[in-house]
Amino acid sequence: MYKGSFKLFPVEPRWWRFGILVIGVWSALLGMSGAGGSQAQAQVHVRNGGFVERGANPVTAEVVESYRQQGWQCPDAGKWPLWWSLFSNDGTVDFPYAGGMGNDSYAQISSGKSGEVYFCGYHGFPLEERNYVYTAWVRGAGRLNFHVISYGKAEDGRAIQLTAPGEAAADRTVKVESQQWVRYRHLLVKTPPLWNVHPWMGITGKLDIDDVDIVPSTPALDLIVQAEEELYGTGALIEQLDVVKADADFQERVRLYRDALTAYGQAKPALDDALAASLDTEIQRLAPYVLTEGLSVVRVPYYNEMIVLTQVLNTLTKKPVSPPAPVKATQATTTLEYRPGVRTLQPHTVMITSITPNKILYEEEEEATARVVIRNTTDAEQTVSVTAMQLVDVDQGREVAQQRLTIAAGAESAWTVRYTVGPEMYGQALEVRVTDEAGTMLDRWQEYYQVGKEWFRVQMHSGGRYNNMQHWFSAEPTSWGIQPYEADRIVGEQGGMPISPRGLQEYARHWKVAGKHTTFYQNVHFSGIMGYEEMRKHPEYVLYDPNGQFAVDPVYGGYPDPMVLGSPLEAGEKRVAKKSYLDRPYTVWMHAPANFAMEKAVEYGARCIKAHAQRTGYAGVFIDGTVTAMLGYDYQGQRNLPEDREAIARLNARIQERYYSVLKGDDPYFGTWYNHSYRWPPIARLTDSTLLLGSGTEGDVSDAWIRAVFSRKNVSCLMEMSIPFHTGGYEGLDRKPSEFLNVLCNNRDYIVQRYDGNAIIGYVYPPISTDLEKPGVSKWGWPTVNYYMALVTASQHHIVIADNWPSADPALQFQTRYSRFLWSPDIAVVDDAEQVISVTTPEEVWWKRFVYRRETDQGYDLIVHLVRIPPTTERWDINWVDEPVPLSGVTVGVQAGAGVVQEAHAMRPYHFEEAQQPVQAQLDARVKDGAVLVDVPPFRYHTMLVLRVKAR
Amino acid sequence: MRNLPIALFLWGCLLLLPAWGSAAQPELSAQTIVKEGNTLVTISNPRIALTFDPARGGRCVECTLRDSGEQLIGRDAVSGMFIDHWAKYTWPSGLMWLPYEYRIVKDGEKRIGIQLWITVPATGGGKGSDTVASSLKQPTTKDLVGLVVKKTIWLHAEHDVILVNQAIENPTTESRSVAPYIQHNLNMGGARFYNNWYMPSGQGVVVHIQPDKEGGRNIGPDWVLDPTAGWMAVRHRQSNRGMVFTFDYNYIQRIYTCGMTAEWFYDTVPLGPGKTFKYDYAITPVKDFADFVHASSHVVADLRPDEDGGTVRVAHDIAATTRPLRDVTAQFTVIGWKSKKIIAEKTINIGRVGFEKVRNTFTFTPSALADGVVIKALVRGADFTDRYEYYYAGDQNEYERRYNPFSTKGQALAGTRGDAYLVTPPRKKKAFDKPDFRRIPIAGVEEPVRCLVVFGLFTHVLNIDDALAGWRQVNYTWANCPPNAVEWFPGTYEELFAYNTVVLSDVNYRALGDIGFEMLCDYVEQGGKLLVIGGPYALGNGEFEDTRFLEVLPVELSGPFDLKWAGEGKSWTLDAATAKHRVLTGISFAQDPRVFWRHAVTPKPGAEVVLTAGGKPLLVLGKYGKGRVAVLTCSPTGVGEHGETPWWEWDGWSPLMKNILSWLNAA
Repeated sequence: MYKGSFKLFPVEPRWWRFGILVIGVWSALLGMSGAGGSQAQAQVHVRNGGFVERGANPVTAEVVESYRQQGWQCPDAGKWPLWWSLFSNDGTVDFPYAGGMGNDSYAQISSGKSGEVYFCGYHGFPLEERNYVYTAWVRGAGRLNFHVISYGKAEDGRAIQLTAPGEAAADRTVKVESQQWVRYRHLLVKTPPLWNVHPWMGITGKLDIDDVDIVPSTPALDLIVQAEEELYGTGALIEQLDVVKADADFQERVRLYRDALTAYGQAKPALDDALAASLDTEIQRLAPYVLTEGLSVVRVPYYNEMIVLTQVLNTLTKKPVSPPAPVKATQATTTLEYRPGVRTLQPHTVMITSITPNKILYEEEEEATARVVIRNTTDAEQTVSVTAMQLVDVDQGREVAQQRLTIAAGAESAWTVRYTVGPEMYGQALEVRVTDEAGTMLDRWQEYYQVGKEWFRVQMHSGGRYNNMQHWFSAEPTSWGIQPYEADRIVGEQGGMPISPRGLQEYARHWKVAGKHTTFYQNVHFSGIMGYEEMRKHPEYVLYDPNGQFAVDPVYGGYPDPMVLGSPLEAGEKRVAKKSYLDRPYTVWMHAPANFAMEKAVEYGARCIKAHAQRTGYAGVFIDGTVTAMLGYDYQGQRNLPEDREAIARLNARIQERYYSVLKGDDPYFGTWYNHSYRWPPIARLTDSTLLLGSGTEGDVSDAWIRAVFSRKNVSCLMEMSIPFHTGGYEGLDRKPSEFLNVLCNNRDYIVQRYDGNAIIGYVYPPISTDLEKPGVSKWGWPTVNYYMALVTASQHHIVIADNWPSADPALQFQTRYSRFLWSPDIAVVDDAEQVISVTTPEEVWWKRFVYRRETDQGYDLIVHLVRIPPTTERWDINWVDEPVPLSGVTVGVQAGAGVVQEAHAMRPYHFEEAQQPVQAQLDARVKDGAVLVDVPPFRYHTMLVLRVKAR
Repeated sequence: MRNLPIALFLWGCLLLLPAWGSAAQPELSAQTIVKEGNTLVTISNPRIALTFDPARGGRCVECTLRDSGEQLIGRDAVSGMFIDHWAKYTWPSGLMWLPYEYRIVKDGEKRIGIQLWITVPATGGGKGSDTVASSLKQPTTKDLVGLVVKKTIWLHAEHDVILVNQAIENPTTESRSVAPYIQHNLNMGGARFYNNWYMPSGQGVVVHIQPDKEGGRNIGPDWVLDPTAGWMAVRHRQSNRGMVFTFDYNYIQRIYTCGMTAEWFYDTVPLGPGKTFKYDYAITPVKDFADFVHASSHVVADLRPDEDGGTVRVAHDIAATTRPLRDVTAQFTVIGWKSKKIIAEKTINIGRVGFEKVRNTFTFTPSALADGVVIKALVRGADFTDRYEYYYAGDQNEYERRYNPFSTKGQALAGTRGDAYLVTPPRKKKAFDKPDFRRIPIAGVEEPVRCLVVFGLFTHVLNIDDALAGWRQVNYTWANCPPNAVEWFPGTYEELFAYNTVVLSDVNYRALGDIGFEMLCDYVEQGGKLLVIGGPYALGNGEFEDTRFLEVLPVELSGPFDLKWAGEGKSWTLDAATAKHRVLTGISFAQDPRVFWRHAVTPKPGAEVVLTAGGKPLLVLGKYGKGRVAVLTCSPTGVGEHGETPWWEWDGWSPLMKNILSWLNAA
């Protein structure tokens, strides 16, 4: 039945799921983002409570004028946050764009000579028969009055303002004295006539305000917030700091809290069900932040909540309750000497300070050199032997060079190692060992690189030190039909960014020397000045609409601007227009799709790409989409695709092959990557799109096209999911760790397992500092990034990181060293992993979808990834500070059947405080009840086991 | 803080309702209140009361539905109904802040109205800003100064329909061109969050859905750039009350809602001295409609298909919009969207239709509902006929079409909706006031020659100004013409007729619009000279079906895809069609110019074919009225084999252009 309901999502389960999917895709498409790192819940009730949206409503220029006449100093109307206004005679208000709770906007208000000033927002929802929690984050010095304008309804239905005690909502004043953001809350007790409220905050002094909200309360929050309010200003709560050390005082309060929880557990059956349920919710939500083992710091709102909840639980369980003792807490700060890749010098020894391979990516059998720097930190000359070992697989090594060195006291010596990387593909280590003349090992150190002519198998793309690939987005004059051109500066065809083509090409050549490959961006349409010129020359290659006109791209849209297209391509100082009326600046969004159903159009575009790559030194190309045919008309007015969808799938496969025959004909390793994942075909099917037909996904007619995609070497597909760590309204599938696990595994099963391809996730953007000098308390989001990267690694994905995150370094280094066990197409998922592997663990870890098998000459390897589950399972919390206590006591059992477990190895990325090397250990195995058991060394985020089984 | 004054500055927070007295109201009344020096005028009937603030753009600042007491207009400074703007400016125009004059008008005992008007002043009457002070400081563009903007809002004694007569008068001695736009900034239910907005577009009726709660998101397009009819509507989801706005489709450029506004923009209309552009519309309050699929000055209607087992039950709701109707019958035809076969037919005799909703139902059994059906309604009354239709492919499809931006079937067909349901906007028919052409002479050939080049795609390749160098002194106006809208075109006949020659280079109908082409046709008819050059958007590809421009051309067009290719590696020679023609004087073909793409046209009787390519017409000359028209069917597209000379690089191109313009301008 058609429902007249217009709720965003109906309750029917299958449509609900669909809705989530769509939101996720849309969000990724649109790059939705929000205030990063806010501890506040999403603001959904008070309009624009985070002050991010700007606009002259209700504060128009006219209103600003009146404010200024009253003595206010305030910004112009367009710079005001939407829905917020002022009331009083004078004061100062500003709305800085950065520095707020999520390093975004906030309000900065100072009262004037007239005293208290009022800051007014909009709530306006009819109130339910429940209380409401009024929240604001505040810093500065002064007083904040949580007030609302209260409304009721007259008998005739008219709205009336309520002012009488007992009718209007009561207010609450708090004293603020803090340089850090502090959360204050006030319980708005619903009076019988109260119908509607609007926030109306009184401010005395100078306060910064952010993330204001009024949300429905629960029976538990009623008690908690009321109790919290009673403690403001008493010293029992922390009101000057935001992140504090989890010191002895904290531990004592945790103990008290645990006691209160125990008592609550016993008393719960006697409590009102609704109260108990809501208390359980609050207790569960708080638990990770105060009860996680090994906390060294605690975020203040949670600390305060724990104190308050202890009071509440004790009151409910009729335990003696006295005012909490004043809190003594110390602000937690982080200043680190940490530098990625830098070793700390040890005194009184001879040690390696750096190993620098001449490339980060080699081809098989390529000659390599590495510069090794050794330092004598003793106060006497030392003579040592240095040996370079090349390590492949788990622990196969071969010596590649040896040298005796004599190093003066306090001096350092450089040694260049020359060797061939050998025939083995994937990651390797170059280990250098230093022994003294007595043969005692003084030091050993490793550095890592990848080997692979088929470089998308070992592709690393980030701003970090293991990056072996660079990509230029929208840096060409057109997407399809790229031609030679001479220009010092152009405007990128889609992004509209100023580009120095020669500069990019110089970069590409420079990076190539270091083994880094560069790819460039193309799409499936002609665009811009160059693209339309190609269309002018070849109208036969263009897709048409029913009017016989060039088709409008269904995603990118846009119509050609004739005078822009007649203007110079050159954008810099050298731009010279031949005619004054043909001197228009380039504007983006002029796209027209190529008719991919015409195989010659595909071949033509591929030839242009290939020639451009040869001219520029680019090693590959990214298609922001796929080489599949879009429905439309050819230049003769004929429908360009057959009706038969299987025939379209075959055509897609054919044009894919045509594309490859040009690009990879003389170089099978020319890199080709696409924007494609398991998530897109179902969406294309929803729209009856012919695109992606032959994808091999559920509901498709065949897998003809996707097989063609991965029929060649050096092919990869990007799953575009970019903002997992952002807060705000983004609810994509990558936002919740457990859902992200499923997304990654589903994509792996499709791209990697079924079709032997390479899967990339990204580009991932962090809402954290990446400044080496400013790590923040969370050390560049170290815990959360490492949890996240563990999932990426265990699910056989490569990642594209849009910056240099020091916190991602352990995983990226691990991927570099052990790519053989991650990305090789012979790494096969073991279905029904529990039939083969058992894991005994003190806490749940993710592993069941991360068991793989690799055939070997001797038998096979079982590869098992153990991934710790983040403490905040509902959403990634990039501001989570404390690292988990290393998990000990994990035992993995193997049912090897007819095989024998010969060796067991455990490898993991380094922990923050460790030397920056993967940690590898050979494990002892024992047999119990027919299973081979190995004890896994403690780990924080991720461990990979390689269990080497020999066939009997 | 406990005794805050009631009169705080609260912008649209709540509805503080006017206290309408309980005493019996006169059927029609008008009341003027002067408050703090500001005059407010209220007109009312038993169902509705409108309060106007003449000093602020003559807008209505309170609109109260008297049965429910609901007041629809917010308290924002920019709120109001019947707000005037100019379509050539983005919101706002200065008109909304200007002090209008007013008077109460009556039409016997049946109607009362308020007439408001302003003579556009030299400042503050053109582009405006969002405050009075800054808006009034802005100089008005010269083309608007002196025009009189007038509106009369009528209430009827017997029903709650609001009729509006609008006009722009040109009392000046100059020709002007005008394009008004109307805005109603209102909230059903006091806030926008339960408002659904409906607009007719090429995709059927698009619904702009507001989220149920704050923090939700809007669903559905705001702008309808391809309207198919002259109406829009809003419905409050909780109260099931709505407002239907009906206006003349023939003058509508686009329809818009931001979620709390009804806005429609008019095409630019030339307005001669002493002439008036009149544009009327109606606002009809309605109840109990679940949706809207059609509205006109006759009826508002809804078609609600609903899966019921294997059959589809259709509820047809209808009400009158401006006057009660009698002898109404509805004839329904259900057609399979893919099969194009008739699935069911049903005729229902509805009889009298008043302002209350009337419902009739019928059922049909589709064989493949997922392929979609189109339910067509032909509704006739004593003196009207309305047609409307609704696409339906099952309840889930209906749901997804509204809520899921990915689910519009057939979106993969670039530039169209492919197999999706798509309504072609009907041709608009305008009856704007034309000047007395005898008083506007077409520019002569005296130097400098004024040449308007409408600069379509790839026109830069032709180097028209270089080709004409040395012919005469020419003053060019280059009108950049993307295929969706020309950037500039003469807004008045005087401006257009001041050009000696107009060149349309790869220009389609949509780009100039129906008024532009109507003016151009008049221009040629009155003695203007027109050169039409081919290209991907020209001639048969130019969407000229059923237009007057076809009369002007000396060739018959063959429809879309008339641009033909010689083939890969092939080309046509360019040949003289006649041994001697003045247009070919001094032109050599020794360079063997080649043509790669040309339009397939058929010369009309009397037309002269001067050049051919591959034996087909390439240059055709003709006359229309007092004017002359030349058509070059070649398109500057394609690439030749090595050594071939494209026609636009041929050394005869320059003399050919000169000769063509000389022929056009021959006495």
